[in-house]
Amino acid sequence: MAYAQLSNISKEYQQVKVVNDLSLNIYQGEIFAIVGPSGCGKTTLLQIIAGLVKADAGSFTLAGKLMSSVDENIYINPEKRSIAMVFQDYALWPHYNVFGNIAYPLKIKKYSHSKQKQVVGELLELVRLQGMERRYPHELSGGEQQRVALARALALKPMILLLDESLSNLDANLKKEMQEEIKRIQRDLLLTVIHVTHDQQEAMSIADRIAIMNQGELVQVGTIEEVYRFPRTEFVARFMGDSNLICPKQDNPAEMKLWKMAGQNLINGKAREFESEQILVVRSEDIKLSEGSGHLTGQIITKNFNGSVINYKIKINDYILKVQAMADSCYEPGQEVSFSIMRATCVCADNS
Amino acid sequence: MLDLIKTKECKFNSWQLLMGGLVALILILVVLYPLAVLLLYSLGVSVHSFDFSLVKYWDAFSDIKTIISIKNTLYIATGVTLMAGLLGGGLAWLISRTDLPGKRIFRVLIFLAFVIPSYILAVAWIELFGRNGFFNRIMKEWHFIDEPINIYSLEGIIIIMAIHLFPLVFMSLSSALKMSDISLEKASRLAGAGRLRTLLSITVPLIMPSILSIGLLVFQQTMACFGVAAVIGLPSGKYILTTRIYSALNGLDLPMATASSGILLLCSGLVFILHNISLRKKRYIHVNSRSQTPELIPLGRWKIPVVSGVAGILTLTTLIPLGTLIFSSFLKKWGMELSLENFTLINYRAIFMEQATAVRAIRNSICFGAGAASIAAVLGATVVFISNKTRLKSRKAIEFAATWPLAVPGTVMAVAATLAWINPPFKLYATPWIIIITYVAACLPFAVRNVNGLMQEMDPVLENAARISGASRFQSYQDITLPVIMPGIRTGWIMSFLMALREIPISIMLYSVGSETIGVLMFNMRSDSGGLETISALAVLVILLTVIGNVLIEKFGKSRMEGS
Amino acid sequence: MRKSTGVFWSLILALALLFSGCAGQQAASDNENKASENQAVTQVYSGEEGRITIYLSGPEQMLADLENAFEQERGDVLNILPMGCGPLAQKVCTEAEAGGIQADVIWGAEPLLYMNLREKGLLQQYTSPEAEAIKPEYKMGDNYYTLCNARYGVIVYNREKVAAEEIPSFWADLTKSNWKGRVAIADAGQSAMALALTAGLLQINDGSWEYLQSLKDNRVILTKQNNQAVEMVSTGEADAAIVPHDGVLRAIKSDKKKGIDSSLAIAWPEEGAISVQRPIAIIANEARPDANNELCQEFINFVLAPSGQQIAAKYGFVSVRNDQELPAGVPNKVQAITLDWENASANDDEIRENFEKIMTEL
Repeated sequence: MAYAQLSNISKEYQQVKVVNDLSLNIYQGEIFAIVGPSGCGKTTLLQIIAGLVKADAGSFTLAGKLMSSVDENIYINPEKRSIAMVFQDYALWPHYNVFGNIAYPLKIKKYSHSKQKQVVGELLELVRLQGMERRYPHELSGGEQQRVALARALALKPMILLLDESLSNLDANLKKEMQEEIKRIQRDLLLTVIHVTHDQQEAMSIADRIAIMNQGELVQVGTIEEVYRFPRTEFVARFMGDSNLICPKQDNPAEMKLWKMAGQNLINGKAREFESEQILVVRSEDIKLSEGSGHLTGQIITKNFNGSVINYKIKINDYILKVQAMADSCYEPGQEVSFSIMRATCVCADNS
Repeated sequence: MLDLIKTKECKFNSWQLLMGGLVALILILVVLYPLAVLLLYSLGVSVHSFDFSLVKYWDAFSDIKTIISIKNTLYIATGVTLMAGLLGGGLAWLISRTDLPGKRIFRVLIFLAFVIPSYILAVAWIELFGRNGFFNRIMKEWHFIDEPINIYSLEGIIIIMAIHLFPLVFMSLSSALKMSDISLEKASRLAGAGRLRTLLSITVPLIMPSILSIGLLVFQQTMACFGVAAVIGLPSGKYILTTRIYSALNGLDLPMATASSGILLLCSGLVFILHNISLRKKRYIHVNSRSQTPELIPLGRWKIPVVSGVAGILTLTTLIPLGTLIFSSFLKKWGMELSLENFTLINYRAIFMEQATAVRAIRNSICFGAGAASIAAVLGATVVFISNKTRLKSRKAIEFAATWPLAVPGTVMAVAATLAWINPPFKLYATPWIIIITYVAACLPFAVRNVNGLMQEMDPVLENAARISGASRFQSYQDITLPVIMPGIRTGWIMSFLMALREIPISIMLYSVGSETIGVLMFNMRSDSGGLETISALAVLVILLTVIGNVLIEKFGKSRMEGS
Repeated sequence: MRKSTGVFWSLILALALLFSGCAGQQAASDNENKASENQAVTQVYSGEEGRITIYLSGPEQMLADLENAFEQERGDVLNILPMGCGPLAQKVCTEAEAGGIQADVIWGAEPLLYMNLREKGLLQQYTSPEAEAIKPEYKMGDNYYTLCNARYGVIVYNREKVAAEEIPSFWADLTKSNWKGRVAIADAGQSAMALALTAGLLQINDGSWEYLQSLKDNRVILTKQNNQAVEMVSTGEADAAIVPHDGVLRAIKSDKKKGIDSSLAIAWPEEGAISVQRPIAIIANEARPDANNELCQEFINFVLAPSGQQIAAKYGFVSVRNDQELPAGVPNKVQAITLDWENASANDDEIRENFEKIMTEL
C-alpha cells in the first residue's frame, strides 16, 4: 500500500489544464523527485498535496487517511495535514529571528517554552546552525536561510516533507552540501520526501525514485536508474542527461546509418523486431571513440573539458553527435575520428 | 466528518462576508453617509426641499474663477507630489541603501519635519523668505536684488506643502525599501546595469505600489490643503478650490460650497481610479525572506557633497522652522532677538492660566485623537485586508470609500457631519461622538494608505508557510500578515493622532461645552490676538505630545513583537 | 462585479435619502402646522431647562469675564461656545440648513448674518428695556436683533517701518505709489468682517470700485482673517493694513503687559473710520421653555446694560449706548461712518464677486 496516493488529480487555471488527471503513489521512507521544465505543473501538484491549492478533481490519501477528495467533498486544511514544506524562496518570516521561525510550528502546537527551546536546539544541531538563534533572516546567507527553512519544516516531525525547488537558489558547492545534508537527515529521521525541481542532475543525485512531468501529466515514473537507462519517451530522454536522438530519416543517410548501427546494440525491446519509425536514444557516454578510420567516422568540431570527462561534438555529414569520453582522451577539434555505439534504447516519439 | 469539513469552508466564506458587511456598514455610517448627504445637498436635495438640479454645478463651471482654481489646485497637487516624491524618495533611498553617515539623526529630523504644523512651517518660511524676511533683507542690503523675491505664489505653496508632506513619502518608501528583495537588484547589477540604471529599472518599479499609494495620498492631501494656501497663495490673489469653498461658506452660500466640494471629491475620485488602472494587471510581490541586508552603496568622493546636501535640506525643512518655533515659544514676541532679556515663560503660562479650558482641551484632544487613531487603524487595516485578501466583489469600492475623505477639507467635513448628525434619531451633534466620528473619517485614509502598499508587496507564500507550519488561516494572518504590515499601521496611527492634535476646523465647528480640543484652544488664542508666540508654545506642546505618543507606541510595538 | 458595486452604491444613496428624508418629513409636517415662512422654525428644543446655549465670537477673556459677571447673579446657567466670526456664521448657517439652530442666543460677527437669518424667519423678536439708551444710528433690525458693540475699520501701521510723514491720514493715501506692496487687507471672500470693510470703502468712494482696483494695482496683500493682517504688520511683513481697531488695541495692550513697546499704531482716516457693529439675537424656537426664554432676554439685557458694555469696552469695543465713554485708545474726535447695511446686504454677493474678480490672479 502506498504511503501517499494521488488519484486522478486535475487542476485548471483559466481553461489551462495545469495538472491533468494525474495519479501517483509514493512509498514511506523514500525521496521522491518530481522533475519537469518550468510551467509543467509540478509546483501546483505540490501545493495540492500540501493543501494550499484545491484540486478540481481527484483525491489524495496520506497514510491511509483521505486528505482531499473532490467527489466526497472532503478537504483537510493544510495545517491539519502534518505535511511540511520548504519553499523556493524559503519563506522565512522577516519579523521573526531564527529561533522564532523554527519555534513557530511548536508554538502553534502549544509546546512549553522549555520544550520549544530543546526542540529548536536539536534542530539547529541537525542543520548545523548552532548559536544562530538570535539572527534575523536578512542577516543570514542563502544557505543558512535554507537550513533554517529546513529546520522549521522538520520541527513537527512531518509525515511528508515537500521541497519546492528548494535548492535552486544555491550555488553549486552549497547545493551539493545541502543535498547530502538532506539525505543524511532523511535517513536519520526516516522521512518521506517529495522534491520538486527542474534540474534533473539535482533530482538524480538526491532521489530514490523519480517522476518526469510534462504539461500536467506524468510521463514516466521509476527508479533513477530505470528512468535514466530506459526513458520511455523522447521527452524523457532529452530531459535526462545528454543523449543523442536518432531517427530513421531516409533523406539523411548519415543519421540512417547511425540508426541502423545503434539498432544492433539495442538493450530494450530486443525480443521484437524494431519498427522503422522508432526513435533510438544513445547516451553520450555510450559512444566509444578511436583514432583512424573505421565503420563510422566523423570530424570533431568542439571539445569541452569538464574535469573528469571531456565532451565532444562530432559532425557526421549533417548530423551532430554528442560524445562523452574519459579525461585522458586527447582528440582535437578538426580531427577525424571513428566511433562505435555500445548501447542504445528505443523510445516513443512525443507526438505519438 | 464530512459535514464538519463542509461547514468549516462555509465558515470562512460567511466570515468573509460578515467582516465585509460589518466594515461596509461602519464605512457607510462614518464616511459615505455624511458625504452622500453633502453631495445630495449640493444637488438640491435636503431636509427642507427636494428639488433636484445641477444648477449649482452649472454655476460653478460657468465661472472662470472656478476653472482657474481647479487649474491651480491640480497644478500645486502635481507639483507637491513630484517634489515630495523626489525629496522623500531620494532621502529614503540614500538612507536605506547607501553608506551615508549620520542616518539616525537624519531620520529623527525627517520625522520632526512632519510634526511641525504646516501653518507654523509657512510662517517660519515667511520669516525666512518673506517680503521682510531674513533672506530678502540680506539680499537687499548687499544690493543683489532690488525687488524682494516673492514667496506668495503657487510655487511657494508647492515648496511648503512638499516640505510638510515629504516625511510621509520618506516613511512609506523606507519601509518598502527595507522589505524589498535585494537579490533582484544584485541580479541587475550582475547583468551589467549601472547603479542608476538598477535604481530606475529595478528598485523603483519594485516598490511601485508603495510609490503610487503614497503619491496618491500626497496628491489628494494637497488638494484638500487650506491653511497653507490661505497664508501663501491668498496674499497675491491665488485661489484654489478649497479657498473658494471657504469663500462660499463664508458668503452663507451652502449649496455653492457643497457643489465646490463635490467638484473636489470628483477630482479626487478620478485620481483614485487612474491610480487603480495603473496598478491593474501587474503583480508586485517581493516582500519575502530572501531579502538580505543590502550591501550599502559607497558614496565615495560624493560623500561630503551628499552629506552636506542632505544636512542643508533638512536644516531648511526641519531645523530652522523647529528652532524658530521653539525659540519663539520662549520669546515675549515673535521675531524678537534672542536674548536673556526677551526670554519668558509667559506664553506657556498663558496657555494654562488664561485659558480656562486648556487642561480639558489637551486631555480631550489626546482622548479623541488616540481613540479615533486606534479605531481608524483597526478599521483601515481591515479594509486593506478585505481589498487584498478576500474575493468579495465590492472590495475595491470599500477601499475607495475608506480613502475618499482624504480630499475633503476639514471645514467641509464638519459641514457634512453637521448635516448628517444633527437630526434625531441619529443625533450625535453637540456630543463628543461627532468629533470622534469625524476624526475617524479623516484619519481612515492615512491608516489605509500606509498599509496598502506593504500588503500588496507581501508575498503570500509567507502565509502559506505558516499554514504548512500548522497555523490556521486566522493564526497565519495574526502571526505573519499583521506583523509584516505593523510598521504601516504604526505610521498610520501616528499620522492620525498628529492630525487630530492639531486640526482646527473640525473641532471649532463641532465642539460643545466639555468637548473643547486643542484646535479650539488654538483658534481662540489666535482670535484673541494672542500672537504667534503663544501659538508656538501650544505647537511645541503638541509636538511634545506626539513625540511621547510615538515613543510609547514604538515601545508597545516592540514588546509585542518580542513577546510573540 | 459591476452589478454588485452598483447595488452597493445605490444602497448608500437610499440610506442617505432615508436618514435625511425622515428628518425632512418631520420638519415638513411641522411646517404645515405652523405655516411659517421659508424654513422650519425649530420645534425640538435640544437644550435643558434652566440652561441656555450661546454661540459667540470675541476675545475669550472678555467672554469669560462676561460669563462670570452674569453667572454671579444668576448661577451656572450659561453654555458658552466661543468661536471666531467665520465659524460662528458657518455653524449657524449649516445648522439652520441641517434641521435647526442649536443655540439660544448668538452674539458677534456682523449684521449681514443677522439680516439673512431674519429674512429666513429664524430670529425671535425681543425689545430690551436697555435699548432706549442706544444711539439712534445703531438702531436697526426691528428688535429681531440688537446691535450691541461697534468696531471701527481703521488703518494699522508699523511704527518702525513707516516714517512720520508717511503715516496715512486718508484712506486714499494707501493707493499712492510709496505704499506699493506694503498694504494688507483681509479677503472679503474669506472674512465677513472684510466684506463689511469693503462695503464701507465702497460707500466712502460713492460706490466706485476704483479704490479697490488701485489697491490691487498697488499690489495689496490679501490675508484670510483680519488678525492675520495685524500679525503681518506686527512682524513687518506688511507695513500697514485695513483692519478693525479692537484687535489692534488688544495686541498693543498685550505687548505692554509683556513689557514691550508695541510696533503697532492706528491711523484714523479723516474720511472716517468704518463702523461695523456686533449684533446679538435670540434664535426663534417655539419649543423653548419659558424659563430659558427669560434667561435669553436677561442675558441680552445684561450685555446691553452699562456694566456689560464696560466689560466689552475694556477689550476695545465701542459702546452703542449714549451714556458710555469711548474705550481707551480711541480718540474722541474720531469720525465713524455708519454703513448702509440694507445696501450692503442687498449687494453682498456682488461685492464678494467683484472683490474676487479684482483680486484674483490668473
